[in-house]
Amino acid sequence: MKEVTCMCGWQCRGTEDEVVTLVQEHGRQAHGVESTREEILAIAVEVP
Amino acid sequence: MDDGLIQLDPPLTDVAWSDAFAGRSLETFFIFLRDGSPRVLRPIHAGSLLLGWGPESQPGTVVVGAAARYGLSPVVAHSTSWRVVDDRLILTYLAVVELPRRPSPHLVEQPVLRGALARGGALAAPSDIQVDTVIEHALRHLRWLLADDEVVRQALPDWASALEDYQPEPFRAFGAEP
Repeated sequence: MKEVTCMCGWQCRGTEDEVVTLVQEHGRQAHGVESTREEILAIAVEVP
Repeated sequence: MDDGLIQLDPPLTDVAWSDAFAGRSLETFFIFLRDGSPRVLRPIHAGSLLLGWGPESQPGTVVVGAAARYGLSPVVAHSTSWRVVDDRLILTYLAVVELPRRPSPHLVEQPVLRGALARGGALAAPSDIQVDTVIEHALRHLRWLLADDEVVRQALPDWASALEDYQPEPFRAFGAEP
């Protein structure tokens, strides 16, 4: 399970694929930015 | 048969300790004084900032590092409470920072609102704890530190008057009806 916390406080948790999808959606909708899978997994942390 | 061996008592809990069983997060509130009044910086897309906190890292170090990411200069970082939310242990830190020079676009400055604390039973935590309640508790805790901890008092010379109305919770409890 992975977790990503955005600088804005938004947070998501899930499998690698789920986290990548959620972060990409959040980035587009909330901040107008595009992120690659590699960029997202680089900042994701492993959680139980 | 008496073989001289003693029988071990059963374990206090039936779950072995492991960070695989319990998630944990580090909740951080950045606060500072503006015109003598406490203000809090909260993330624009969440009620509070929840940081990942691995077993290899010290929470205070994580908090100070996060403050730097937002361009903030921490003066005091202190844990003030904990709670469990959705099977996740949340350790709350209050980070007193210097007046921000260039506010981060990811944080919004808000006044600190006063309120009652969340109350639980004698053997149970409160069933519902709101973020504003956590901040109220944290500032009462800080007020207590200002009275009790010389290091904190010296680091925050302007805060004693700002928190004059925050009654530290331990002393309040001493005066309660049994």
